[in-house]
Amino acid sequence: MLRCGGMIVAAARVGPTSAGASTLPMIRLAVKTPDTSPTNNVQYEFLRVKFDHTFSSIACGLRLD
Amino acid sequence: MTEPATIVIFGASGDLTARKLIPALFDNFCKGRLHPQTRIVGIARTAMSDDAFREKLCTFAKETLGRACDDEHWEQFAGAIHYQAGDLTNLDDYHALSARVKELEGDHGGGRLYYLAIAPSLYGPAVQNLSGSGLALETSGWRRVIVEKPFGRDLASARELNAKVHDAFDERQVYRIDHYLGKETVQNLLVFRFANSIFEPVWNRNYVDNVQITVGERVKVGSRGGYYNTAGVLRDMFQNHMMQVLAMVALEPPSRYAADALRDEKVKVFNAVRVPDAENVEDFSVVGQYAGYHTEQDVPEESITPTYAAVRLDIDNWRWQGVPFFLRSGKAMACKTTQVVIQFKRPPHLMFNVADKHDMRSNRLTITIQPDEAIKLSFQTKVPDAGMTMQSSELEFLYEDSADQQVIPDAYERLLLDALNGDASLFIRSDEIELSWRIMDPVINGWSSRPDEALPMYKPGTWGPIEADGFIRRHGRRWINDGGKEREAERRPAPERRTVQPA
Ligand SMILES: NC(=O)c1ccc[n+]([C@@H]2O[C@H](COP(=O)([O-])OP(=O)(O)OC[C@H]3O[C@@H](n4cnc5c(N)ncnc54)[C@H](OP(=O)(O)O)[C@@H]3O)[C@@H](O)[C@H]2O)c1
Repeated sequence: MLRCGGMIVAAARVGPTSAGASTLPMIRLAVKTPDTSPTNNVQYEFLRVKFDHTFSSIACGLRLD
Repeated sequence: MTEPATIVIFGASGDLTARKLIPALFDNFCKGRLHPQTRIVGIARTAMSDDAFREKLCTFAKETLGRACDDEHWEQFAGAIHYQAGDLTNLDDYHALSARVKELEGDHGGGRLYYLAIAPSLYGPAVQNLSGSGLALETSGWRRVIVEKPFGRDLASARELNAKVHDAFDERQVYRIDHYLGKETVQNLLVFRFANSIFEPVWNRNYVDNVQITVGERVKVGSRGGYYNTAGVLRDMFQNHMMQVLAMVALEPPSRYAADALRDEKVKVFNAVRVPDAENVEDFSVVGQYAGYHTEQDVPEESITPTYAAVRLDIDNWRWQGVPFFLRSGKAMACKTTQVVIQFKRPPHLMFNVADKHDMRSNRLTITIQPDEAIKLSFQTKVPDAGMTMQSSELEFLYEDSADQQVIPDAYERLLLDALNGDASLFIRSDEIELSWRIMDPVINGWSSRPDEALPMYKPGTWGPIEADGFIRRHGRRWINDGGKEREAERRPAPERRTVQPA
């Protein structure tokens, strides 16, 4: 789990994925929908870790489960 | 959709009209956002027929919008574009303009938006003549005026211009533009802060170590040397765009999204910014000039105009006391980027036995306004299968990866639409303009009053003069130089890693 400001904000995905097993932290984030008015029109996106970028130099088949 | 209106562009034969205003209006037209009874009337001194004017605008619109500018839509749109030759310093020409606009409006009437896309020296005469000719009167619909930047060149001239504008228009009719506020990513600062609940609790002096706002331009002054040399980076970037971004980062939550609620909060921030002392300008700022600047077109050999500046500002309120805001901008920099970095404090205690504890990277939130619009949050992760080795990882959100693949529209598109709809939230109020000059004047005057001191030079393509590094070091911080993609590519092959011994 990722904690921020005393509040649980997102669950890290733990366990087998199609690319092998990994942990992928994500935060669900409200962002302004581009090209909309009024300004407070929001949509949800994710802040996510790019698995390939982050752990490119280690074996992807690593098992954490 | 907007109401029926006539948009009168002053300075219609100029660059801004062709490259920004008309493409933005055309895009809004194609999206069905303009009322069918929307007319555009351009005015400038050059003699031109309606058709010649349309032809010229079409060429630029095609260049700007590419394939998005299809002939069929353009023909429909161009039918509502007209041109009137006239001199803005001549009152008679306003009466002629008034007659022409009335004739085009016929019985439809409607609102009128006057866009001053002219040199700043003409803003005063234009508003005076708009008033003198009765064009500012709201007897048959609303009348609004958009004033371009720069609005004044110091506090005194901004006050003088505000007085002239207020002689002709009520403040509610005045829309001072800063196109940065029309950028999606700048507006998203509000959404990011106030439509998410997890960031606001840490958005203060308890968690934030310092804030860095960078506007880097790769380009040199090019053909704008004449103008730029009289302005310099502090007038060109800091007083307007950077102060507005600072306000969006620092403001308290407005109670609702409405023009005055938002602008009141920005004014509170500007009121809380400690006004720098011109006498000690080198304590809180540094300036520089790129090597070769004085050989640019229209730049005098002996020019001491800064093309780079970095300024520390402090906000004296409960939220930000003790948190330095470092603003820096320059031409001929290492990369083109506008970004806001919120550097968080280090964890209060580290249970891991990190060899180089003092260098451990604490959390950092990077909001890239342009290009490569993105939000990134860095945090420490354990490297799998490598003992207790930590590395900095990033949670990232890239606009280009966004599910719907929306194209980010040009800032003017949004701002013109808002002005037509009477929403002044993203425009600057008279008090904001004056307060931001009040903050920047001492920095500008402080440096211009020391012409004898050697101006630090920097090599084009770098992050500014070496003195800028010394400056921030004296404030106990360092610059965070990760710009756009180019720098990321450099970083990725060798991610930052720190080895941790089991405690
Ligand atoms: N271009 C940009 O990207 C940009 C960006 C931000 C802000 N701005 C601001 O927008 C304003 C316009 O910029 P610009 O680049 O479009 O300038 P520009 O290309 O020089 O255009 C100026 C316009 O003013 C007209 N003009 C000059 N004197 C006049 C007079 N006495 N009566 C009537 N019209 C007159 C000129 O036409 P005639 O010679 O035919 O009269 C021309 O159409 C400036 O305040 C600038 O700071 C521009």
